[in-house]
Amino acid sequence: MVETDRPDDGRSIMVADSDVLVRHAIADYLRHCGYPVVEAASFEEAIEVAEAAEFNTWLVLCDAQLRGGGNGFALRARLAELRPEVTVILAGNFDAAAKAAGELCEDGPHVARPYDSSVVIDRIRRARAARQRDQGG
Amino acid sequence: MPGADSIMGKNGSVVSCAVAGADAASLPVLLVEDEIFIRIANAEWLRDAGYAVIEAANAQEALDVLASGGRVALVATDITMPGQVDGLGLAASVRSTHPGLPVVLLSAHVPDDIAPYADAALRKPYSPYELTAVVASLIGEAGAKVAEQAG
Repeated sequence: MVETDRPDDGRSIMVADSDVLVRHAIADYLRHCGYPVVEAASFEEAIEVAEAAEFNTWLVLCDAQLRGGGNGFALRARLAELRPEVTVILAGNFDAAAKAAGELCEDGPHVARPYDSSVVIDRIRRARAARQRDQGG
Repeated sequence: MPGADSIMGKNGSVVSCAVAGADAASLPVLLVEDEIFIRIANAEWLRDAGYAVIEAANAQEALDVLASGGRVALVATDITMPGQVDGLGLAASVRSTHPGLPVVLLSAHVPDDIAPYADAALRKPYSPYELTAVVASLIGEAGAKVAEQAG
């Protein structure tokens, strides 16, 4: 269960994932739930955002296999130094990320969820399968 | 139109596109930009105007989106990006694999002849108005309204 204290001041959630198909599906879902969302495609991008003066993220939903100069665990450790007030949720795979997003959505700014997080998982599975077929994998 | 001198079509003016219409207008804009703060700002401008946006951090991510079967209304791409494929390579690929899909180049250094790559180009720095105007011109004024209603 994701335990968070959601702020009501418009601060954002950062979705850090190096697979665009996963990142977009999760971020889009959270936006539909009413959250402002920032997307980071790598460890470096997440740190660049975190180091910015205008940083206003309260929660980071991060893929454990994030690519770049560090993975999700390294990002969590760096954020603990840079922004100790930020909650970091590490997801081991996209199912876990979508489920975490679903729990966030339950407590989100919008009363009703746009759709169940299982829909997000299905969308990611289908998109990734199509990409694999297209790329001959 | 304010700032119109930085918006170019094949013949030096903003162009309309064959896919413009309600169908294309309800689809997301595929925004490709490796500088995260520029990407965030551009995406926010487009979302504020009512468009859905898919954010890609490089050309390979954009190709992944297109390979996944995701339909988009338009590709708006930076030119200079790290990786095996830059923005011009991406634009040329889109021209080949998705004929009719509008492409807009977003760069400080736009080629003199954009016709092999794109329908329009914006020279950096550009304003939110210029970006949303060129997108609207290519996928139809109805786009923002349809996406806003859907969103």
